[in-house]
Amino acid sequence: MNYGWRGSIGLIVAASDQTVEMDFHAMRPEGVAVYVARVPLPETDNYEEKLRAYEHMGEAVPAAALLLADVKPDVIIFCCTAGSVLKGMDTDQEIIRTIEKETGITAITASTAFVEQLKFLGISRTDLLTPFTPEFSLRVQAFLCNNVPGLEILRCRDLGIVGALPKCRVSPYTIYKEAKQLASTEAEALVIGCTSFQLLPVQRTIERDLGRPVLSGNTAMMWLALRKLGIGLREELNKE
Amino acid sequence: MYGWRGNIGLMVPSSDRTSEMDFRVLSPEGVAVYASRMTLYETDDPQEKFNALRMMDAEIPQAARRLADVKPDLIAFCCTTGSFLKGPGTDEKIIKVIKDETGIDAITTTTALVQAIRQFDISSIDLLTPYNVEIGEIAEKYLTDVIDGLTVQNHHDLGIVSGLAKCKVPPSEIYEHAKRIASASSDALVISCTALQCVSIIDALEQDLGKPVITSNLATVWLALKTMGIGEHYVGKGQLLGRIGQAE
Repeated sequence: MNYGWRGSIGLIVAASDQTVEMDFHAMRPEGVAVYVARVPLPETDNYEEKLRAYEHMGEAVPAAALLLADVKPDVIIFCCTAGSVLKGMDTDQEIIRTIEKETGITAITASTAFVEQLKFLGISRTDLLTPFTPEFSLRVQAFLCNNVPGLEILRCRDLGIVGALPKCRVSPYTIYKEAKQLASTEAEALVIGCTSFQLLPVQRTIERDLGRPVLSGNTAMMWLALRKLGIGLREELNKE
Repeated sequence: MYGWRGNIGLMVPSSDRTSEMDFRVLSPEGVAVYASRMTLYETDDPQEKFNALRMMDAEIPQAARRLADVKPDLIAFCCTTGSFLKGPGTDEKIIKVIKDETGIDAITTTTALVQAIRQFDISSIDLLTPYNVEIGEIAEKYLTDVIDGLTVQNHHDLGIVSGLAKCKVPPSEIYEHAKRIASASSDALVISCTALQCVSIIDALEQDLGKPVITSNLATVWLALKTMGIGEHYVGKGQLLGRIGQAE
């Protein structure tokens, strides 16, 4: 059989992200192909520069979507949490419209996937762990609370990392420990932000130890993409 | 963590559904693979295809820079035609552009094919390509010009111009073409083009032909791992990959 006989997913990835495409390939069900195009996101440790870098990255999305359109994916995903909440409550919808207008292919974003999965699971109280600065994390919190009716964020912990590569290099065990320390008794879920975080190897373990769902950008995007493709999810996510 | 053993960056033509997937399927434990695309606009017109390939050339620096951000140990330019089209030296020029742009070590598919053929110390091959005859001729001439004493016995081109159409040739059809064109006297079969999906049939094909089958992507994976000093034990992925990590 040829690659992607069951479906193909196109990823628009921030240039410096070492995690998202590897996670997709680790989770990829039989017969599903994954293809990548990169958008520039120059490395910086300066917060103001980073905000500008995210904006420039947005400008490169139409060209990246066209590059992916050539492999005829069934869905295109803009894989950056920060980039899809940057300009307020409608950022993700604007990116989706841009990609769909440019290519005629169904699109989703990282932040859309969080919203859809939170709604699907009926979560109204969650904790939030992010690698972002507290300043940027406020944008993520506002985005989620505005787009998921009735959602309350109980506790939030931000690691304060600006550079993309350092986010990719936080060890899964650090993420595990942070998650355990953060989790409040009343929360129904834990949301862990940022596609660069390499938490896939410990995500199931955190879920078991906390006794609640753990939503990450990458598993939420895979979940939503497979739903769009009509591909069954049984035992196919969070492969260890 | 991903890539604790090494990171490979791939530059692929936009319409290629195969290279990235072959690399991901074959990459050893601890080796991360990252991709970046270059526009190769779709066309069914052989003359127009030359123009599309020329335009892809212009996007090499940008695609290389975007990969440089994930800090790969090696960048592989994954397009056979793109790296032999202008005759001997095409691949070295591409390697130089990538190195100048990023400071990162680079290889191309054509470089890998040539080195893989040399590795087997063979003097005659059969050649199967998905290309139209014009590009097929350039491929043959390149290999015989660059490899001393190499002769091509049987040469067959499938006559496909579109990149996407090359990716959609069923592996079973590649097997049938290969069986049909292989000559008794050749030392090996070379299947050119990163878009052809050969990994799933490589073992059966080699067993049935009784000789090594060298394909674009298997050669590129082989050279990439060899360059990075990664010795994987491959079984059933062809004689070339079977040599990785073995004494030479």
